[in-house]
Amino acid sequence: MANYYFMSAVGADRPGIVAAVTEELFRLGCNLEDSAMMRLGSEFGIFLIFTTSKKLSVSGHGSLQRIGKKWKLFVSLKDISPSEARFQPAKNSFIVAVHGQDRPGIVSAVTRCLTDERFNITDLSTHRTTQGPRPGYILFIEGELLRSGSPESLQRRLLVLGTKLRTKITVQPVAPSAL
Amino acid sequence: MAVRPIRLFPDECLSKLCHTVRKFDHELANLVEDLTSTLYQSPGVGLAAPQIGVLQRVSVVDVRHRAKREKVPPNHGVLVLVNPTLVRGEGIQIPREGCLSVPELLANVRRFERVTVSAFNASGISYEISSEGFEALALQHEIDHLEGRLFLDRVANLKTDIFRRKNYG
Repeated sequence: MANYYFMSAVGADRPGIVAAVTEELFRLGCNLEDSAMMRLGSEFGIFLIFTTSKKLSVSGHGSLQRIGKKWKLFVSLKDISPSEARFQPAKNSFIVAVHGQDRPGIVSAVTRCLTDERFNITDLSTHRTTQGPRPGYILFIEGELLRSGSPESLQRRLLVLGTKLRTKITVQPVAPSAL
Repeated sequence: MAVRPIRLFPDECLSKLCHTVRKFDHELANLVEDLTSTLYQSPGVGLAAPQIGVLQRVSVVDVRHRAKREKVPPNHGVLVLVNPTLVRGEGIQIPREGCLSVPELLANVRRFERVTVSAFNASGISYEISSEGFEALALQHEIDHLEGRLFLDRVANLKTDIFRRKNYG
């Protein structure tokens, strides 16, 4: 029976990390089920879900420790259930775009408002711009409005918040097209 | 005729609704000339009045500008759009779009492939054009500016649609 694991590896970016980590997992007989990586500044992070017939633990497994040590990565490993490993698409998705002059507290105010409106955040990215006369801030949030939430109430609250923060906030439903 | 500075995000002019033009006078003619000369000094193919700080429903588009000679897309030459309205849109294109006012980012944005736009020229004569491809995209982008809307408001996927611009090609 397959064992499911979630692994993260975080540290300073260097060429070759992804190859080193995935080669080691392949050597251990692991099959990748899902993965994502990103860089922020010069820092690197990778998240992997994989299966293996063996029981693993990050502290007890020498090869994962060696990889972490060699590449100066914080490695964590967690066993998860098959259902936790499965991607669960959101049903009632929206994208919230926020942009305006940079000021402290935009992300916390918007995310608090979304949470209060029963909006579950599934993705977030921010961009600070510096070429204008003043620093600008762009925040994108994707998420799912839970059944107990209301799109009208969400729109109303964000409109009020946008005025308060002096930012523009737009909400648009994500409507994938089958082409 | 003056080349005017292009307003950059987060300038407030870029998120405001523009006023309908009521008078087709010399002030409007000057605005159109300023927009045109500023456009031709820029790396863009369209410019809207709020991008130079004027909240009037006026844009200019010329997709021949910056196009390589052998790759000029179908076009109507220089288009002066006063009080433009998108009459009809058909088909889908998802180009990677940039903006002179947001020079640091690009985004994949869903647009109509073919559009019909009605507008007035600087003399107050109404016209209607049907456009496709790159010019249709530019028309939609510039009309959005007049509604206080940036391409950032049309992003549909965080993972695949936002890009930091490396340079102006």
